[in-house]
Amino acid sequence: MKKTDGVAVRSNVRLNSIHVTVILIVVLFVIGQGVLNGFASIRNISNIIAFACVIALVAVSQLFVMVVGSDGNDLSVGAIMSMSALLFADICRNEVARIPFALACVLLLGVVVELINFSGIAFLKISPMIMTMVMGTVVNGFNYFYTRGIVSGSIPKPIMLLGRQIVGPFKTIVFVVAVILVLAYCFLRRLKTGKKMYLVGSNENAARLCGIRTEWVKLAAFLMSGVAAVLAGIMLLGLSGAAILKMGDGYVMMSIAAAVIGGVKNGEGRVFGCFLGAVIIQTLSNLLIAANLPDSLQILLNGIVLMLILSSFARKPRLQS
Amino acid sequence: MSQLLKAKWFPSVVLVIFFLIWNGFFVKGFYSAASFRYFLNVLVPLACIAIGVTVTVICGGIDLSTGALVCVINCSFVVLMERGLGLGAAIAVSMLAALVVGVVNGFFVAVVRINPLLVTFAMQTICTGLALWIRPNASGSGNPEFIRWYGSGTVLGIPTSVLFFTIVPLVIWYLIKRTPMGYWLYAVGKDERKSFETGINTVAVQFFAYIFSACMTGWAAIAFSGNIVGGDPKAGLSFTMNAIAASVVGGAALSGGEGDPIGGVLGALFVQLAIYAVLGAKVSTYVEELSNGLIVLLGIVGMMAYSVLKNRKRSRL
Amino acid sequence: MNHLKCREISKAFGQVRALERVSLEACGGEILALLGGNGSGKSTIAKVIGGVYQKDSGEVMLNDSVLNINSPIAAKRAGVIVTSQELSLMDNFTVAQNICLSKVPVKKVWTDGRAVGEIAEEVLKKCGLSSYGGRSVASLEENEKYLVEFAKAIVMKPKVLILDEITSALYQNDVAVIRNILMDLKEQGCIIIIITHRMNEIFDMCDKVTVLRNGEYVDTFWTSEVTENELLFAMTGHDVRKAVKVGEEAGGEEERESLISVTDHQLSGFRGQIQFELKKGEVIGVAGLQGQGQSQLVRELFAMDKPTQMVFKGEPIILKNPSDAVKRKFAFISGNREKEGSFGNRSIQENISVISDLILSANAEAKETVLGKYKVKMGRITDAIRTLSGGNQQKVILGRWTITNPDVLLLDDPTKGIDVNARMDVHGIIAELADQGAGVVFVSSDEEELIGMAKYCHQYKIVVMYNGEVKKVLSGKEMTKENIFLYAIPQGGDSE
Repeated sequence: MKKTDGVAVRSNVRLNSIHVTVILIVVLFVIGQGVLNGFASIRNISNIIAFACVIALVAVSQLFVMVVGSDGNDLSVGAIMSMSALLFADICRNEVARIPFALACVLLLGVVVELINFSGIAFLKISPMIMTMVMGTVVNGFNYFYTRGIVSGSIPKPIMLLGRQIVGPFKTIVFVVAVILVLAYCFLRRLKTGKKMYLVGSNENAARLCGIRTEWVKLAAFLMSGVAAVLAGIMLLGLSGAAILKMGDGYVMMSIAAAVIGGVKNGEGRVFGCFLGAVIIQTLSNLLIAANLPDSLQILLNGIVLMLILSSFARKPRLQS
Repeated sequence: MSQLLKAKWFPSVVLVIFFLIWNGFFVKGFYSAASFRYFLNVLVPLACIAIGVTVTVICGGIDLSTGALVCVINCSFVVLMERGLGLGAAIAVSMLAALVVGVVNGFFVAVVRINPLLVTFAMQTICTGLALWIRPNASGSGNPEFIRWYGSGTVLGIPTSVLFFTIVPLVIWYLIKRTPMGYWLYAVGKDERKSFETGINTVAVQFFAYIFSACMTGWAAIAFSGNIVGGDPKAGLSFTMNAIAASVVGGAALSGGEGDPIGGVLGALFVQLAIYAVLGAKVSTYVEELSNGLIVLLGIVGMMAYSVLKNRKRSRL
Repeated sequence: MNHLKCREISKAFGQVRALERVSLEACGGEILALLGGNGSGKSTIAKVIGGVYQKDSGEVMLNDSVLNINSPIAAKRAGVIVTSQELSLMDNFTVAQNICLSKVPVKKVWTDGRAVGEIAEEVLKKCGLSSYGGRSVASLEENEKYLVEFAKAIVMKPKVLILDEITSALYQNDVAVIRNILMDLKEQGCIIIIITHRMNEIFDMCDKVTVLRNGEYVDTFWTSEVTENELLFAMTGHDVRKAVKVGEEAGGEEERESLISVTDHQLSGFRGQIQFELKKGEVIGVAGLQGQGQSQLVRELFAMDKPTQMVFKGEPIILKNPSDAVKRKFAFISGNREKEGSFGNRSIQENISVISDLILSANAEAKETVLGKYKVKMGRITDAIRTLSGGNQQKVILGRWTITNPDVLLLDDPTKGIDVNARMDVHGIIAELADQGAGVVFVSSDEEELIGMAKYCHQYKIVVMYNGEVKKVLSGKEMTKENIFLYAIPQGGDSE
């Protein structure tokens, strides 16, 4: 391969990072097994993959916002997840017939939140992280207001099924999320708007000069992010069996870490990479639990891991050429 | 008069005056001596943090770790005293801890060159965990003398809380502003590359900004410990967003190079007054969190809209 | 006497060799002019000496000791000050504060505010801008900003002062002011290097002139002993005496349909007004020194930053943004691949099919055919485009537009930084498009390239621009490098 512009790039670099990720997962399981016997058991693996599916969906949420550029991250996804879970459970009231209506409601709300996010970012030039962070607080406040602190315990059966195993060790959720991930993949790789997202993120100016309406593309990305976050919330509801206030908060950090590990950045990012990144994050999380570390140290280590991941993948260029 | 109108913190003055009047009418007993003193005591930590955050914003970055850092310092301050350390020593060690956090933030922003938003966000997670580890549940009684001194002491008629934890930090800032570092902070915030080419040591300047912010936060945490009883690993988390709203409303431009911590203090005053206004309206507790979030949102959105419109008018002229 | 010596400095940006073993010498007590055409490397070497760029090899020596300048901070410490063509002034400081920013005067630890005002006033007075200290940068005129930039440089009392095109926005009397100050500095032994394209300034102010061409050192002359023609010869490699003056026009212009016509259009950043017309099947080369409005012209025709009024195919229209332009089958290709063309981390396939797949949904030639026709050397079509060499990347970007058969092709230095063979391929492609009826505006900083286009195109002319206006239209035998330079460089009597 020619050396071009000082960067010797092999086109196989994608494959290599996937190999590394897979190896990392295996290593983590080996360590886990050493820490706690039964870590690498089928049951535990199934559990990890199930929860990793939730993280993967939220990571896809981040993917939409990060791919489209300007170093954006969506910090409101956690609150949207919580809102989705809480309101869905509440609106359903254990009636299967109300599921479509409940789904429509939470999707609408999620889209509205992201619309507000986008407006602040695009029109008022508020940086994405701050705008979404603030909206996250507002949505959390809304959740508390709506539920009056009383958490609905009744979740319709089909949703509860998500947490059940149906095919061998794999739970239903894995298949449902797999379908959603495939749809996300198709959107990004086959539909025009999805393809444009990568270009806008890769070089927004060049995209504009090609005649792409960059602002509309970015809006679409934020809306899709909201949809993914809403779905992730419902998945989490089914898996954990209960809707709890602020249940989604911890997922914000995990989604960013998973996305970054999965190779998501401006103009680049693969849905499958998000899934692998999610598996790593969930495995790591379980590892810390298996090591019997107190909650506080788990959070602390998560933060350190995020800092290390950022140092490896998310550095800005130097000032000098 | 037109000079006053042009000042970046002018909108915050308007908002503050509005709410000072509003609260007088609609918040029962707001201006009673004890009540007002308590209001000030609650305001002071936020104002102190806003001073620090504004400096990072001036320097072109931001600090999202302030709330979590308050929790860490508050808990360690209380724990240190419970373990037998004197008040002075506990303050010194706590400030040292805050300094270390500032150095780490500065390192990852200036040397490793990661986006400050992400760096301080990760640091927020780290500090959250650290606070929970130091003090898993809110408990302890703190130092009663210190709490009394903070809560009701005065020096020459000025409340100790306001004097030591808002006025003194502002004075420190103004002393710094009068050194070359004052220029450099604004320069690096305005245009990092141009500053670099002018021969300014941008790495040192950025380190300074984050160390300053963390120290201000640490100092605010001491104040906070004078206001709550004991150590609480979660009580300070709302400071992060409130301090940023305070900075923005106070006129600091998120793009860097503009603003002044006095605006941050005014912005903090606005945020706290608005929170009290909501409390005074005796809304149910379920609305509180939502309304606090909305205060922050509307404060930031309103201020940014104001500056966008102002810029459009200027370029049309 | 102070003595600055650069030995065999080389600097490459990726594939582009900006400096090739350039050696330079300048002494205190003499003012040296650095002269060269576009891409000669004069700005690059200034930035290398100033620590903004890291050199790849070579040495910079001051008074026989090697300077290790790896950053602007180090340069400042060594007493080397370089002004750049882009202003370093920041609009959140006053004029006085900007001037003192590099070296803030202190009294113990405190900023000496009074000294800031006094120091600034002292130097501003010398520059004829007395009492400007308290003003905001935004309130200054363009020429005043450059004078302040100059003031900022000399207030540092540099040992080595390099001024990069500082006079380009200045009026005659401003230049006289600078001249006087430089004469004073010269007497104090300061080493002064001026980069300028104005011949009268070179002969008036400078003692010596060094000529660079294509990143290489050509020669150094005493200004008292050299003629303008000899300098032009050194710059271009051609004998200017062969310049063909106005008179010989190309044979009759055929009647062609007008594609674009703009009248009395003021390009942003310039005071003059430009008239411009592009016909079907015509290729217009746009020449001139850098920054004279050529780039703005094609960008404004593409409605890049603001809406543009024009007459298109006989109808008056307003293009609001690039999206509008693209829909009307306009194409814009820039030489600045990184910022304006290349989706670096995306595949070749995506890069070439942006317009055809995503915007116009037009039936396009198969991508592989086009890539083959343009002789793009690549691995697989799914490889990232940044794996290709600059020239091949540019061909792909060109291909992205050409497969949709545009009506108007607006090119801003499209062959920047690509090798000779790739350039020839690109020229052929452009000529072919013109033959099929497209209109092409070809802005280039390489005069030889513009002249060479004549070989390929049936209907071709070159316009020379200066200061936002068309100074001269050259066609037929008139299209020579010497003529271009003649009209591109303002002569002695030419004042703003």
